[in-house]
Amino acid sequence: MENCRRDWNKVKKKITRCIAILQRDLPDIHISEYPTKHIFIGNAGLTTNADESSLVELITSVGCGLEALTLLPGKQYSFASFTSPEQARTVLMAAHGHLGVQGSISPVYMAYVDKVPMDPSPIKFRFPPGLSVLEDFVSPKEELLLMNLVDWGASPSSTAQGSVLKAPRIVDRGCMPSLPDQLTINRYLPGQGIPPHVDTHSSFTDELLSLSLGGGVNMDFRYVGGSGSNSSTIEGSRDKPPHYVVYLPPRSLCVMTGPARYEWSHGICPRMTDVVASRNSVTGLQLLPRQERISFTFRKIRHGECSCQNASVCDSYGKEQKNSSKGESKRSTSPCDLPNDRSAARIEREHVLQVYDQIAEHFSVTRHKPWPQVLEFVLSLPQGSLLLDVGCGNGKYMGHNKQVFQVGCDTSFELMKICNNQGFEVLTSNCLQLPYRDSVFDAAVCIAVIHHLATEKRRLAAVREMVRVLNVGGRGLIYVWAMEQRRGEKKSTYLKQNKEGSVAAEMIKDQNSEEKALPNYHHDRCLQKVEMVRSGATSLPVHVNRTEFMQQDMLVPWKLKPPKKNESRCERRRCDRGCGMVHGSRSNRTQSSEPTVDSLQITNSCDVLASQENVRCDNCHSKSRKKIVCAETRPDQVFHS
Amino acid sequence: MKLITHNMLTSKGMKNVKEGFPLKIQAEEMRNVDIDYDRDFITRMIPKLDWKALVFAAQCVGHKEDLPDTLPDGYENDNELLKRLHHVLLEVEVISGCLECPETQRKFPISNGIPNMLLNEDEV
Repeated sequence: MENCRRDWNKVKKKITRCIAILQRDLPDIHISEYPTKHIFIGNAGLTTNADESSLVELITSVGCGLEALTLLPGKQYSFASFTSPEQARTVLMAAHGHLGVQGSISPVYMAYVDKVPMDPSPIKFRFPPGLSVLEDFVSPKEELLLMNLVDWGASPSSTAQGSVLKAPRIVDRGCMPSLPDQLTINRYLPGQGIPPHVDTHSSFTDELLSLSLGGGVNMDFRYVGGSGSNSSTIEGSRDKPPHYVVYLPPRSLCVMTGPARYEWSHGICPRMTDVVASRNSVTGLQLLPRQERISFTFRKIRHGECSCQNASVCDSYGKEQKNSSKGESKRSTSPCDLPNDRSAARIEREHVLQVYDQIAEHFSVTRHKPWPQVLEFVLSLPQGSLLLDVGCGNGKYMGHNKQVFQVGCDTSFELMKICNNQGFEVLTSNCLQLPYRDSVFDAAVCIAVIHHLATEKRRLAAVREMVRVLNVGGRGLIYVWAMEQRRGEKKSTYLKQNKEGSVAAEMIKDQNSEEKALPNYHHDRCLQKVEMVRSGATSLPVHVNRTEFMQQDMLVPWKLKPPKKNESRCERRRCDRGCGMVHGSRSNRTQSSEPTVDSLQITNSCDVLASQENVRCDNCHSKSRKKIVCAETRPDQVFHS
Repeated sequence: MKLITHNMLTSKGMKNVKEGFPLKIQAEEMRNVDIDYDRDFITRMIPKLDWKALVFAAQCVGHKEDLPDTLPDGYENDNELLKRLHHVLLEVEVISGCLECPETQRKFPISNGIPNMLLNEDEV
């Protein structure tokens, strides 16, 4: 008896202390002597490691009628709301001073309150606009089939069949206007999640589809800003953007379009359980343990910039703004007007044209071995053909086929002198304005040139210009650098030449070693730390040679040997992105434009070529260019790749 | 620069220039190189040429007398003509001088045998 009283005094003391904290924090909320619908839980909150699921577990173990939980960020307390004061009373009587949340040694201390704080972050089982969840999209049989497609122990190779199976249904049911061309497969084990993110606007088209297999999961949607046109319909205060939780049951297809795709982030909280709204349970909420979930995310690669014009969330929009000159008014309607082109031209002049003039001699020494596919193309031309080499450099592809007449052009006068000395017929010109008549050439090659152009518009213009000078039936060959330097598990030669081991170590070794110790193709190494180089309107990271490309637009360093003072130069390159792909879409399309193999620009340019129906584009690419993205533990990385 | 190359060149990349063809050659320094005569090659080249422009170019560099004003029928059997064509097209080279746009009179300099067809930003 004595013990019991002492305990009760302790409980009283504790709850009094908790109430004092509450009254200091939120003076508007009053403690009630009599049962109300709301319970204040004084010592279980986000800072004490209590979360929704542990509180729901505790409450549903002793009572029912839970309507909502309110947890405040940075607070040690929380609130539970019930459908009636009686239900609240049942829970308080059972738990107050007696029961604790899982993982806590002390019991919870509770009190009735007249109200709960306004909309902090109760679980809101609502859909953001533009989101729909199609339940039972696949049958249990199909689910099993799809899950077994990926062997997580070995290399993920056979995923293609799965997408063949799925893709047509996606279009038939109107989830996407056309077949997706990219598939990401993620595996989430219980306790794993993915940070909130918005898929990059410029990378993918509107519709994003996520098929859940194996286990269901709560997906958190948070409003991240945007046009504000529909802000009135979205709950939430200015400093607390709305946060909705959507449960994705197994075998369901989650379709994100419009605002849900562009203005809401989505993510999965890393935890072992999910609190879900239950139709059957009397509590209204149900605690579901997580199971292994495999998601198939279907997307379609966007060709061109995103047109949503949503300044705060769109990367395309930001890009346009950045490219515009300072004086340019923000109201400028056409994103492709002159200032952009000017600054692009400036970047090219500074980081490409001038650089090549400076490194010409050394560049020429290191560029002697023609790429076999290009050579094959050149040698395949019939006698008497006129061949143009756009951006011919040191003339590596000139003079091989004695039966054709070959001319070359490049912007670098120094490189043209080298060609001229070898008897090649060349001139200086920009690839955007080729100084040749229309339809005069039987063939044209453009090897590792177009990636130097700073904007997609200019890259396309270069291809159009090449098409212009080709005659009907003429053939073109274009190579650009690929962003991905791997195919599946295989590294490209480019990466292989960086020997196994740490890059940093090799950097030092390379800088100290003598030239003769290195094979020729290592000449172009300038191993610097990756750093940002600021130049005019843009800042671009500097690539470390023989490593994977960090992003599509990079400065690629060049080191002159023997080294002269400050002679490291960088040239600007854009590496094109190979598309992740769905084989299904590939087989459905014609071979003519090879849409899946290529990068944005090349695919586009092939459309250009195909539409004119007068050239066959021997569509090639350097190095690895395909990938199927499969991620197991770090899905966040691939989402933004 | 060989005359066969000249036959393909235009300044139409400049704004407000419609044809930009043929460019007028003002040669300061010329050179003759020896190229193996390949009758088949020359025969195949001829249909690709703009004959008038070739005659104009030959006139500019003092080789007018090598070529008839119009391409005669049966040229493929005229070995003499083919040989002269071979010479004019492939062996005559302009080392320095300039090319002039027929519409704007913009001059494109030739140095080291390399025409500089780069345009300034305000010309495109």
